[in-house]
Amino acid sequence: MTTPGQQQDRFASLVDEHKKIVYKVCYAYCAAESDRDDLAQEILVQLWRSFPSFDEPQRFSTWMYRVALNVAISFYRREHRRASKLDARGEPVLETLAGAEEPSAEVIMVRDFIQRLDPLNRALALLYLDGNTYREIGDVLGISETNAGTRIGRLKQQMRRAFDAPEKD
Amino acid sequence: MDLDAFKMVWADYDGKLDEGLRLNRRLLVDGVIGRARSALRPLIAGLVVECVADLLAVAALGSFCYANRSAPQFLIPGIAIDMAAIAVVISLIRQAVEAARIDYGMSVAAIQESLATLRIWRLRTLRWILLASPLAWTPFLIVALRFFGVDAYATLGAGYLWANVAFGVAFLGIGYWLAQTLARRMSGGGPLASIARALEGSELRRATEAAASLREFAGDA
Repeated sequence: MTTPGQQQDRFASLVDEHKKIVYKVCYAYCAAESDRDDLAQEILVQLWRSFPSFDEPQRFSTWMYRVALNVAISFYRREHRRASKLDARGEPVLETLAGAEEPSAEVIMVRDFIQRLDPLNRALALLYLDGNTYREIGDVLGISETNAGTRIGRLKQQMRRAFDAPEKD
Repeated sequence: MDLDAFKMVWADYDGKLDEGLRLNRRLLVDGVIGRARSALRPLIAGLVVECVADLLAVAALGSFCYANRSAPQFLIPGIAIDMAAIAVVISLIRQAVEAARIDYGMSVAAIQESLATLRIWRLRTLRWILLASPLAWTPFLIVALRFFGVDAYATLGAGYLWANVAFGVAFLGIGYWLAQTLARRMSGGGPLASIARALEGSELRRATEAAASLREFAGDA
């Protein structure tokens, strides 16, 4: 039997261990920095609310992807964002250390490509780029392994067209 | 560059994030966890409150219909309003059940489908309420006055009541036209634009299209 304090510590440790997922999902779904922080906070709130239903045999990263992507897609689709913010001082919940985050031109190009996709394909691209297998992608998204593979194939074609087209002109 | 080349760039970036990203634990515990505790599923709570209020109205209207069972001039408007209230209660229960089932730890397709269904129900209910309100005004007036012991037919006269019905029909027509115009012109947010889009139906069409594209994504490609 764990106490609420222990559960809180365990949650904080697991989130800390997998914080990159939240960070990358926020970058995939929000272009503006203020929106990214709002989204990060919403994802963390939902992760904590859903934490009691987290099933141990399941990988925490898979579960975290599901929650983060579900919140991000809803956030993206919502027309009117919630006005209230968690921290009036604007302190970010995920911080990049000074000088550590200077994304290369290629990383910016990848982010731009992801942000041009529709919300579901963004999730697909992000999961693929993060090195998940088709089975894992299917598991997070709720689609079959074959479907995940087919859709990744289409994404590759789409990308080829997007990056090759200007060179041919 | 292709997706697999991007994958290598992404893996390199991922490695850099290992060292360069820090979680603000103080904000996580004090802000995030604190807020999650205080705001216990406001959507479901709101739906339950709405549902209880509507159930009370259904019960009061049921009692009104029974008391006026031998006076059709009051019974018919009473039944009409009661049926509308029952329809709203059914929709609210359906929404509350759908909202309670949502567990964000489930797969993206499953949760997004639940959210899309919930949104369609909310928009459909709101649209019907907006469309029916101007027409329900006259029967509502007859029932409300009767509750206070006033006979609307005798006090206000049949002519006045028919004029109200005509005004309700005209109001609905003008309101619908105005909603179409506003929905076309106001692309941004704001409560007025939202109500216009809900009444005119474009919001519902968009929600239905989003649900269809979700089903297409989840089905085998």
